[in-house]
Amino acid sequence: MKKTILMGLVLMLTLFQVALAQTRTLSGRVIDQKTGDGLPGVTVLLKGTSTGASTNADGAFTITTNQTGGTLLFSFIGYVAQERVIGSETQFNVGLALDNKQLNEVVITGFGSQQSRNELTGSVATVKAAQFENLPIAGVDAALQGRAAGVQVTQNSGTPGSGISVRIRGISSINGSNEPLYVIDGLPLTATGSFSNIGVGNQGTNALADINPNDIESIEVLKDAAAASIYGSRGTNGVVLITTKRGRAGKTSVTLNYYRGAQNIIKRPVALTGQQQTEQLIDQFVNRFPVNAAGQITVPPVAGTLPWRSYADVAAYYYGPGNAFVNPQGQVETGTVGSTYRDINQFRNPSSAPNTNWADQILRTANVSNYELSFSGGSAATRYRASAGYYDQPGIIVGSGFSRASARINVDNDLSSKVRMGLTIGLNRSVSNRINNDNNINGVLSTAILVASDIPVRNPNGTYAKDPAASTENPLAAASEPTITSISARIIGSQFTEFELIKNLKYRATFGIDYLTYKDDTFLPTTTNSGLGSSGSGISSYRQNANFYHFSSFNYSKTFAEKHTVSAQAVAEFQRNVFSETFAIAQGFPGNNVRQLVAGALKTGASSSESENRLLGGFLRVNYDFMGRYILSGSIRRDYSSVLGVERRSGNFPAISAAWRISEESFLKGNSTISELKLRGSYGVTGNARGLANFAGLGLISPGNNYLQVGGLALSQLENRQLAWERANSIDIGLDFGLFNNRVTFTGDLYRRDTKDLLLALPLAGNTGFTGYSANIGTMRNQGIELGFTTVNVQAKEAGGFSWTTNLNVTYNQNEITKLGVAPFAAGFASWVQEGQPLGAFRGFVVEKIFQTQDDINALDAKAQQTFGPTARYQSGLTRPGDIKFVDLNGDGRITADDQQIIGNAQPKWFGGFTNTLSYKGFDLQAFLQVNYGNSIYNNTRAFSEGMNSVFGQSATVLNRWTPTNTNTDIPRAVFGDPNNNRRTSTRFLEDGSYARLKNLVLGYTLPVSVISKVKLTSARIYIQAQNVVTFTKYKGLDPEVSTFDGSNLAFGTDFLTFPQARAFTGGVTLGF
Amino acid sequence: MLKLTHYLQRGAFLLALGLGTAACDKAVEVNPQNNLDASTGFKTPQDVNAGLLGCYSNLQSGNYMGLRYVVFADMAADNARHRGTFPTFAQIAQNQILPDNVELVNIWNTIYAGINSANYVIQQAGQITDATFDQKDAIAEARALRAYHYMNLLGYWGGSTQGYGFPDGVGVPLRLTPTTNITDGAISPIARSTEAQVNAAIREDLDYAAANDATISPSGSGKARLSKASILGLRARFELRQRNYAAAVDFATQALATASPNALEPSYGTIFSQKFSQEALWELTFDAVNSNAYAFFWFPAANGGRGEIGVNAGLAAAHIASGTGDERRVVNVVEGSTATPTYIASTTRKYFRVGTGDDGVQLIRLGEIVLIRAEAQAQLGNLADATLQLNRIRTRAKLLPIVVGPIPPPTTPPAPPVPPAIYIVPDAADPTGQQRLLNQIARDRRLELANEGHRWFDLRRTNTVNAVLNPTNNANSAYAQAFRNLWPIPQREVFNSAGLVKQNDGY
Repeated sequence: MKKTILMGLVLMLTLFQVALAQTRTLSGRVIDQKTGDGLPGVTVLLKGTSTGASTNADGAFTITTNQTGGTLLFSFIGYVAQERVIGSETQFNVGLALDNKQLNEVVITGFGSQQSRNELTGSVATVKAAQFENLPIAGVDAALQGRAAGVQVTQNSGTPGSGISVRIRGISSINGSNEPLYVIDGLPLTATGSFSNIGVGNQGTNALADINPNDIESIEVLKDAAAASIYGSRGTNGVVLITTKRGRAGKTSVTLNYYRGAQNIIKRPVALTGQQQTEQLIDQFVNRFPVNAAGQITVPPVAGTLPWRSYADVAAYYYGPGNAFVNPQGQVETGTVGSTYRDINQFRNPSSAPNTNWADQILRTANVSNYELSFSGGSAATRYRASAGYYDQPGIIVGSGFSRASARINVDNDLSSKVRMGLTIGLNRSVSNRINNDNNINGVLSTAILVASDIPVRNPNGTYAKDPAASTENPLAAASEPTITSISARIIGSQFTEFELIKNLKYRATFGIDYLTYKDDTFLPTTTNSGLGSSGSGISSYRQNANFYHFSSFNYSKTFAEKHTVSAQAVAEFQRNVFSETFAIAQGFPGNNVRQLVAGALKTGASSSESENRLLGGFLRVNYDFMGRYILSGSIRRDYSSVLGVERRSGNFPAISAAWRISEESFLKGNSTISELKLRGSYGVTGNARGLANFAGLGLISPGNNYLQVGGLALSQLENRQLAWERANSIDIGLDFGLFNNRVTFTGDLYRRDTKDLLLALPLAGNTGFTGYSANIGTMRNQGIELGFTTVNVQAKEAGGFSWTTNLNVTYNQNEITKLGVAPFAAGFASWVQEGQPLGAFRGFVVEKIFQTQDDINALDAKAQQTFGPTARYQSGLTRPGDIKFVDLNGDGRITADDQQIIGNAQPKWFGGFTNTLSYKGFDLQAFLQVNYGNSIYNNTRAFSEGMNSVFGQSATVLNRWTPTNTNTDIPRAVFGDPNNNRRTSTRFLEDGSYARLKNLVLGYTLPVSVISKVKLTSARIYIQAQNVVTFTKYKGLDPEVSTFDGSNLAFGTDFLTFPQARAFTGGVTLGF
Repeated sequence: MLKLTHYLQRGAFLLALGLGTAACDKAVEVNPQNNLDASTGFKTPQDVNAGLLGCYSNLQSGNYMGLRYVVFADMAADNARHRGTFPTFAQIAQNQILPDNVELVNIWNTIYAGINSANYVIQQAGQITDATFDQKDAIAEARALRAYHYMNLLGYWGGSTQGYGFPDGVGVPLRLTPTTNITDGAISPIARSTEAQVNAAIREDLDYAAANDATISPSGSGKARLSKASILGLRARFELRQRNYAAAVDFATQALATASPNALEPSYGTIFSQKFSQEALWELTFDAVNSNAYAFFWFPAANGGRGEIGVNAGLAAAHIASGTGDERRVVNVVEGSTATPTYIASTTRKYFRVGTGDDGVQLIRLGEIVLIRAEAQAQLGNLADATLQLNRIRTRAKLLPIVVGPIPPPTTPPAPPVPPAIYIVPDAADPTGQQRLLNQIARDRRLELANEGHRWFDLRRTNTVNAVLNPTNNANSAYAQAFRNLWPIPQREVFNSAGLVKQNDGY
C-alpha cells in the first residue's frame, strides 16, 4: 500500500517536471526479460532527478530532458531495478528480471482476500502460469504435478482428458473424497471427476479438463489447517485456488498462441508370435494331461477314457472351433470346421499360425494441437481480458481423443474509488471420444494384449476375426467400431462487488454459478460382440449439474500506532447443488448407420432422477501483526450440510496459527546473508463429507425393484441419524529461510494430520439383509516433511545475460490407518485395507521358488498329510515341477488363505519435482524432472499376459518359462487351468514402481524486438517441447504412472491393461500484436 | 470461550444473511426425490404388493436366480463347463472355492436381502387393516418366498458332507424379522442355526403358505408368482432333499393334484421356447427391460455373448448313452450338427434369447414334480408308481419306457407284439430292481433338468459328489475332499459376525 502511494507521488512529480523544459527525447521499451511481454507502468527515472515517465501498456516510454549524460533507472514492483548509462543513445530497450525476493509476494488466501507471503502464517504453495503454460496437458490438475511440495498428482492413465488424482499431504479418507476442493475465481467447484453415465472400464472422464490451463494466472494450494479451515467441512483434503488471467489497463494487446506436435507410445507391449503362442497353447495340455503309462493321452471326462490322437487335437478341441469325434482308429481327434485359424492344422503345424501384431493395429502416432487468441486491455476504470482457445488431443490408441473449445471473459470495473466489481465467465465444450478400457473384455488395449497373436485381424470375407475360445473382442473392432462420445458443456461464471463501506472496512459479495451439462452417446454396432446379439445397442444420457453459490464477506484492516495491524474477515456462504439426469437405452437398430436412439426399435430402458445437496457456512478470521515480526491468526467456522444424519448436520472448525519473522528482529534486520527467516506454526480442524451420496444418512425404500412390468419397492438403505463429517486435526510447523537477498530460499514444513470419524460403510453380516451402512468409524494419520528449495544459481547481470534458476521440492509422507474399526477388507485386485497399514497396502502370497523336482513336492505333501489327513496337500493335488512354491507363512504345513501377508504399498515414500530454468539472450530452457520413490505397483496385467493357463495372448517374456530344460527362471510352466494357481495374488506380480521422469523439456527463443517490430509484432516466441522424454524405472509394465481404478481411494497403484501415457513432442509460437 | 464462539458464529451469519441457527438447519433441509423415506413404511395394500414385486425382483438378480445361483449348480457339477475368463467362476467349476470368492459373497448377500424384503412384507402387511386387503394371502406369498430362500441357502451352505437332513447338519443364520434400522438390535450378529432349526422354519412357512395362498394354480403370466401348486411342489422338493420319501410322495401328489392342467407339456423343447408353457408351475419371467444374462453368459463372443460357460462334454455323452431318439439331447446340447443361427453350438436351447435377455427360468415345473414322485416312490419300494412316473418323462423324451420285471417271451402273431421297452430284470445283486431303477431315475433326472440349477444339489443329497466329480472322472474338476460338498461361508460374513457365524469345516 505504502509503495503504491510513493509511486503515485513519483509519477505526479514526473508529470510536473515534463511541463518545464524540452530539449532531448529518450525513448524505448521495457519488457519482461523472461516472457518478452511489454511491461506497463514501469517507472523510468533520470537518476538523481525527478525527471521520468511511466511505461504505457506496451512497455514503451518517452522522456524529455535538457540534461546530458546521466543514468536511467528502471524500476517496477516485483522486478529487479536496472540502471542504464545514457551515452549518445536515445533508444533504450530494457528487459527486467523478476525479483526473487519479491517473487510470490502476494498470495491469494480465499474469499477474495490476499496476503503478503511474508505475513503468511499458514502453509500455501503457489504455482505460476509460467511453469505450465503451453504444455500439452488437458487440465489444471495435471499442471500441479511435481510443482509443489506436498501435492501428489498421479495421472491414472494416458486416456486423453481422463482422471487425475491429486492428494495434498496424503490420503485422509477411506470412503469420502480425497480430492482437494477446487475454487476458481472464488467459486468452489462441485463438479470435478467423471460425469459420464457410461462405464467403459475403469477410466472415467475429468470435469477439471473443462478449464483451459492457459487461462490460468496462478494456482494457490492451501495445505495446512490454518489456510484451509476457512473452507471448513470441505478443507481436509486441501484447497486449490485457481485465479484466471485478468486484463490490465493500456492499449489492447493481442496474443496468438499455437502449438502442435505428435504423441507416441513410450513402450510397446511385446507379445509372442503366432507360432510361439500356438506352441505355448499345446504346452499347456502336455503339462496338464501327461501321457499315461500306456503312452496315451486321455482327457477325462471328455470322450471318457478314449485316447486322443495328439496334443494338437486336445488343444484344438479346447481352443479352436473344432468338434472332437472318434476316428476309425478308435482315437479322439478334432476336425476342422472351416476356420482359417486356430484349427487342428494350425496346432499340427504351429509355423503355419497367423501372426498378428495387435499393438500395431491399435496404436498410432497422434497429433496434439492447441490454438488460442486473447485480447487484453482497457482503461484505468475498466479492464478486460477475453480469450478463446481450442485444444485437440487424439489419443495414441485408435478411437480415443479429447478436444475442448473454450472461451473466457474477465472484466473488472471501478465504479468509483469505493466500489468495484469484477465478472468472470468461462465457457467451454469438451468432446471425449472414449474407448472401452482396462478390466474389460471389449477394451482396446485390453484385447490387444489378451487376444493372442495367432488370431488374424480379419476373416477372408472381411469380417473381424474373433478368438473362438474367448469372449474378448477383436482389438481393431473394439477400437474402431463403437461410438462412445461424451460432450461436456459448461459455464462457470462468478461476479463480485466490493464496497468500501467506511475507511478500512470492505464488503464483498460474490455470486456464482457453475452449470454443467453432460451428454453421453454410445452406439455398439452389430460388428461388435456387444452389439451383435441385440442388433445394435445405443445409450443416450443427459446429465446436468447446477451449482449455485453465494458468499458475503466483510474485511476490516487497520494499523494502530504504526505497529499493530489488525485485520478481520467475516464470511457467510451458501451453496446449493442440483444434479439431474435422463437416461435411455435402445436395441434393435435397422443397421449401423443411424446411431441415434430414434432408430432403435426396442427401448429397453428410460429413467430420470434428481438429487440435491446444500451447504451453509460462515466464519470469522482475525489476524494480528506486530511490526511485521509477530503475527497471530485465528479463525472459527461453522458449517451446515444436508448430506449428513439429521442429528449431526452442523459442525465447528476452528484454527489458530502464528508466525515469528526472526529476520525482522533488530539483531537480524539488515543482515546481508540472512535475508528472510520465519518460523510458522498452526493447528486447526477441518472436515470432509465430499464423496458421500446425497442422502447417505437417511433410511430409504427404493423403487426400481420391478417385476412383471410393474414397479416394485424394496428397502435399500439403513438410516444413521448420527452420520457426521470426518474431522481432521492438523498441526504444521514451518520454516521459511532466505539467503543472499533471497537468491537461495528454502521452505520446510513438518505436518501431521489426524483424521477421525472416518466415513466408512460399516459392514454388516449379510444375513441382516444389508451389507452395511454409512457410519463414522476409524482414524487415519498422515505425517510428513515437505521441503522446497529455490536457488538462483546464476543471476543475469544485465538484460539477456545468462541466468539459471533451480527449483526442487521433495515430500515425504507417511500414511497409516491408525484405527479401522471394521475387519480388514480387500479392494481391487491385491489391495488390502487394514489397521496399522497405509491405504494402498497390497496383500498376497509370497513366492519362494519354482519347484524343480516331484520329490520335493511329495515330501511337502507327505508332511501336510501327517497333520491334515490323507487328502491334504501342501498346495494342490496337481502341483508339479515348474509350479511355484509359495511360502508357508504360518508354518502349518500347507498353503491356505492364511498364508498371505502385506507385500507392498502403493504410496510412495518420497516424491518430488526438480526444475531447472535457464535463459540466455533470447533463449530459455526449462527442464522438469518428476520423481516417485518407494512405491509398489501390482501388475495384474501379467497375471493374464504371463498366466499361461488359458487362451489369452502372452507376453514374449514367457519364452523364458520353466521347462525341464530351462529350470533357472522365475517364470513357472505353462499349464492349462493353472491347478497350482501360480497366478494367485502374490509377490510374483508386485513390482517396484519408483520412477524418475523427465516430464517436460522446453526450449524457447524470444525474437528481438528490433526484428519483430518491423512486422508490427510486439513480441514473438517460438518454442519446442518434449513431454515424458525419458523415464528411469524398473517397472516392467507399459508405464509406471498408473492406476487402473481411476481415482480409487483403496485400490490405486494397480496396473491392469491400462492406457499408458504418451511421449509428446510439440512446437509452438506465441505472437503478441 | 464457549459463549464467545457462539456469539461469533451467530454474528457471522446475522451479518450476512440475517439467519439464526434454527434457520440454518432449515436451509439445508432437502428431501429425497428418487426414493421413499423408509421411516414412512408401507401404508397401503398397493405398497405391500409393490413390496412383494420387490421380493420377486430380488430373485431376478444375476447373483441369484437371474444367473449365478442356477448356473453354478450345473457348472460345479458335470452339466456345464467354465470356458470364460472369470477366475471366480473357475474356482467354482474346479471345486476349489476359496472363502473370499466374490460370487459366493454376492449370492449369499442377495438371498439374505431377499429374506429381509420378505420379512419386511410380512411385518408391514400384518399392520394393514384394510377390509379389501387379503392380508393372509400376501403374508402367505412372502412366507413361501422366505422358505424358498432358506432352502436355497441350505442347498449350498447347509447340511453335512453326506447330504441333507442328517443329525449333524449345519444350518445358516435364521432371521424371521426384518432389519429396518440400526438402533433396535436387529443388526446385531447372530449365530448359525442348525439345519434342523432352519428346516422347521421352512416347513412352518410352507405350511402356512400352502394353506393361505389364495392363488391355486394360475395360468399364463400368473405363473410368474408363487401359487398353492408351486408351493406344494417346493415342499415336495424340500422333503426329497431331506430323504423324507413318504412326505415327498405326498406333497408331489398334492402338487400334481392342485396343478391345473397337470399334464406334462407334450414337447420338451416347448417348455423353453415358449413362455409360461403348460409345464411351468413357477417361472421367473424377464423382459427386454428387465433382462437376464443367461444367454449372454452361454453364447460365445462371436454370437453376442461372453462365452463364460458352455455345455460340459459329458452331458452330450450322457445323452448318447441314454438311448437314441432322446428329444432332450437337441435341447440340452446344441452340437455342430444341430446348430442354427438362433441356437449356437456348445450352448443349450434352454437359454437363447441373447438379444432381449428374456429367457424364462423354470423355478419349479411339472417334470420335476413327476421325477420327485418317481424317485421317492422308488425309494419307498413302490416301483410300479415309480416307473409309471418315470415313463411319463421318458415317453415325452421319445425314449423307450422302463419296465421292472422279467423280459416277456416274444409273442407270435396274432398275439399283439410286446411293446418295446427297457427291462430292469431283477437279479441276485438287485433282487427287486430298485437300485437300478433309482440309478435310471438319477440319469433321467440329470438329463431332464440339465442346466436348470439342480445337479449339484442332486449329487449332494444322493451323496454322489465324489463319485461323479473326482478328477479321474472329470478333468474339469479338481474336487478332492468331501468337505467341499458344503461351500465356504463367505469370509466377509464370518469376519462381520463377531465370531458367531462359524465357517464350514475344512476352509
